[in-house]
Amino acid sequence: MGLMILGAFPVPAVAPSMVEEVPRTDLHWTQYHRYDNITQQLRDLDSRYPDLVKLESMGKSWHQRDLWVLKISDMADMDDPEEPDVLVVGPHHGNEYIGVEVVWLVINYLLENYQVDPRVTWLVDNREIWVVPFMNPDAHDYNFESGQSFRKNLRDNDGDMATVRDNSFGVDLNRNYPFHWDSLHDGDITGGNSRFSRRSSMYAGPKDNYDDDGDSILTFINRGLRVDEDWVDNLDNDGDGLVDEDPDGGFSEPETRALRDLIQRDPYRNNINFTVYVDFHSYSGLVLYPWGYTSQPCADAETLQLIGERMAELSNYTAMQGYDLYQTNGDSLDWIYGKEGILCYTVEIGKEQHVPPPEEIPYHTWNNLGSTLYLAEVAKDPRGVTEASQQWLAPEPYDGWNAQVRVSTMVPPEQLKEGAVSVHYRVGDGPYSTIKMYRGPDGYYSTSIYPDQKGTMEYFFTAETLSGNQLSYPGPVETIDVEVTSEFVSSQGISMGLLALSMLFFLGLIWGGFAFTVQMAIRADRKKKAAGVI
Amino acid sequence: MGLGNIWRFPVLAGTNGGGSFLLLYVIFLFSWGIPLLIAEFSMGRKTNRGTIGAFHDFVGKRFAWMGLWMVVVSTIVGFYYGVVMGWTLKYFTIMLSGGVGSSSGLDIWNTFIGTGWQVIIFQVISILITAFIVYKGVESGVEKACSIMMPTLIILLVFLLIWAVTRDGAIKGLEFLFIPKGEYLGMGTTWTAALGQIAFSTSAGFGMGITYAAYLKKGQDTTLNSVITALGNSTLGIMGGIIVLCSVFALSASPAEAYSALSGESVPSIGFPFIFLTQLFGTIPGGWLVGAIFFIALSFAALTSMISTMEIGAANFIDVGWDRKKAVRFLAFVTILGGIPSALITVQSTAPDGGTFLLPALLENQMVVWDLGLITSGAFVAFAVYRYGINRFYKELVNTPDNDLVIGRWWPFTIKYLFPLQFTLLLAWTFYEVLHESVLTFATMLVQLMAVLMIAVWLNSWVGKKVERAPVEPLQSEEDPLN
Repeated sequence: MGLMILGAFPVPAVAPSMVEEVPRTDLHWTQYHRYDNITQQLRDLDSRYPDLVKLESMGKSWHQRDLWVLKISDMADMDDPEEPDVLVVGPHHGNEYIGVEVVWLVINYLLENYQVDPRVTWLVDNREIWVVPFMNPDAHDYNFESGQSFRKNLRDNDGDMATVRDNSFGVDLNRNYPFHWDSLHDGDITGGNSRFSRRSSMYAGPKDNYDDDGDSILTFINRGLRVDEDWVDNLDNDGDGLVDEDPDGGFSEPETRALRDLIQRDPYRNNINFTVYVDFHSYSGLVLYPWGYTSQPCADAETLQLIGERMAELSNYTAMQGYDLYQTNGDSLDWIYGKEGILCYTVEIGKEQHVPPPEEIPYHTWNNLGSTLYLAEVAKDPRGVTEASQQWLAPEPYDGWNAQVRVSTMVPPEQLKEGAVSVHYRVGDGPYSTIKMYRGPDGYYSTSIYPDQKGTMEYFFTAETLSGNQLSYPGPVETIDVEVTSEFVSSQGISMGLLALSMLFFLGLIWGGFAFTVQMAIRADRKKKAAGVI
Repeated sequence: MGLGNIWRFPVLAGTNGGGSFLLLYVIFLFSWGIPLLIAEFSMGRKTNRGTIGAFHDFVGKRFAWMGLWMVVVSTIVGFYYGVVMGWTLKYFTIMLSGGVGSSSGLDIWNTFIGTGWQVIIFQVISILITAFIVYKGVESGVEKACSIMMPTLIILLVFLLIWAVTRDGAIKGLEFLFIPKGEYLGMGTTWTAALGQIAFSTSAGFGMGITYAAYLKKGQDTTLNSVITALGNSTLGIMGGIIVLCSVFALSASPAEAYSALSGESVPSIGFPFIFLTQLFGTIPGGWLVGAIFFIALSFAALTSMISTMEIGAANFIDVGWDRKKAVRFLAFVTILGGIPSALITVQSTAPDGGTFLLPALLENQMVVWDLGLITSGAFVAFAVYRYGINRFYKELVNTPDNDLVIGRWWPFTIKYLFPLQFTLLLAWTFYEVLHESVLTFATMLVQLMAVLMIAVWLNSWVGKKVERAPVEPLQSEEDPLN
């Protein structure tokens, strides 16, 4: 069986058997960034590009980490009323690291290519692009330290100050926006995971329970009376002539409040006028737009679908209304569109996993660069986009790869299991590195290889058919003796064995030495006493 | 020394990379602390005098100032030691009044350190108690109290060790303390801190060995006692390190926060043992009582150290002809006065989370400067051995029939080669790094050390005459023990 399929297995159309040059640029990093590192680099950018960027902290997380926002524009210190404002936001969830990398590429791509690539120059000159790399730096950092995969922020819900963050910690920031927060119903239909349970991984935050508009003189007697009676939905729920003046919840977290305050910084929308918004999650390979709380289409559904389809096309993703994935109450899109009128998207990066192996970071970052640039391009009049609109800011595949391995198929690619096609390569005699291959828009599997040294490259492919057969070309799968695990491991982890060994050494030497010498002294003392020396 | 191990060791280990510090600390224990203690005890046993007299008799009258240097340095170390001893007394009262309660360890610290008169009052109380005991000569009473207090302290430390290590997240503290990190080994400050801690906590360089050897009974061992003293100290130091560092990691919200606490970003570096220990007691049922007993026992440990420091000073004054009571009165006055700047001068720093904390900045400076002083004292002792003749010293004074432990040939080798090497390299490295970092800091360090050096040299002939006595024996020709 194996042999037959082997003969039909993909062969490389471009055989990079000799790798002459390995040009590397820092736009193809293969390591996840930590908050401190990004902070440092943001400060560096701020001083390196004083005219192009403005770095500020839009607020602080629970653990007092600055929530950075980097504004990129010509004359970044001024808010030009002519230039529409674009908001690009990294992951709300602490375990969706790849989103940080995507927005980090957006930042660096724009700055590196300003006055190099005329399209980027135009974009920077005519847009004000605000990038927020981290919405939830606490959990991001905590995950890297602890090796956990924590989604929510680090609010101490029960105030027990425990140092290990179990689910009793945290609010799901992407359920903490007040629009149709709907405290009466559990909107999420994901397996009994109540939004209002503090231990839920989608805990929406504490209910408001506060008479925001001060109309309940009986608050002391009856908390239910005219408290939280006009929730955020653009309607006058209590019929008092005021709209949304007594919300039932949302914006309980400093992180979401910081984003709200940034968006509302210029209440008159004169100088800062956000017209489009995109934030990044992982994973699903989707481009989502409002509403999330209802299956009803929103007023701009047609435009949102049109722009969303183009964004999706650039990443080989699918565009759809958020609700069609699953119902969410309190996510960022509903509030940003519902209350602020900004056309907005959530991109679910990747199709495989929350945390792609680090060597796949360049694939995902570059794959998601185009959608953001395109969104920024149409930011001047996004509602005017039609089928006929020009779209010249399509992403150009980066041509700086040192070795683009393209696999043409003789087997129909749809017979292969997506995510199970890999190329294994090495330069020199070291172990093989493995990179997953993805189906491009043309249907073929491809990937890019960037070896870290010059030399002759050896490579082979492995794949799995839909029916579960393992394939290897050239050579049977049994001959693979180098298995490269792609599981993400915290760099902070030190093996217990090493620790035990080290403790044994130090404690044995000092504590053991002490016990030994004391025993020696006692014996010597006894001897001396017996001999009458002392 | 109690505070040296429970307070200083964790501070220095925490700020100097944990495992890297521990590795160097253990190396210096064997290459500096133990050989130096052996030399001091042997020297003291021969001379039976205070440090000035010992150097005068042993090395020659032109070198009495080296003994004076040791006295002055250990007295100056007593300045800030008295302040920290005052802290332990204050923390005793804090624990008695209920411990941390709802406020954080840092709040308690800030409130206390920020109230200058309180810091001074507890410092003055500490030194007056010390002076009273030395003045009245009632050390035996203190020893009796210590025979209860020290076992109590040890038992509490063992309990705290187990408690701290079993907290959630404490394993990170063990990792921090026991896994050396390369980058810290490349920093001169780590090396100086490790050597300084050895010189401080084993009291090698205080002249304690020289002074106390005089009180030893005939026939008593000195070499094995030196080794036991040194290893015992390090045993306590590592215990203190484990307790405090595990607490820091267990009580911090994340390892990142713990690192930021240890690096002095979010809490004052020299205060974190107090801050985190009070919080650790907060996690123990009935922690206020445990904490109160702990801090009072720690105060006693500190008291014994303070007493011996004052004894060294007094012994020298008596050698130059002062009356004991006059010497103690004078020393108490100087120690109080000299400690006040360390007690009062604080710097307010801002933590990354926007909170503020008070750092006793001068006290921190004093620690660094006088560690160099103690290291220099150690080099002087090595110099004394060299002048006497290393081989002769080794044969006549180290390996005596009274001693239970035969010291091998490594000892003369260490004194002859490693001591000058370690001393010059570390001093040069430290000065280079400090100068590189801040000319001002370098200047203050140099001025302080130079002032003491000049005073010591200037007074040389005067103290020399005062302690006049025939030299031990005329010098003989040097014979290299290693050949």
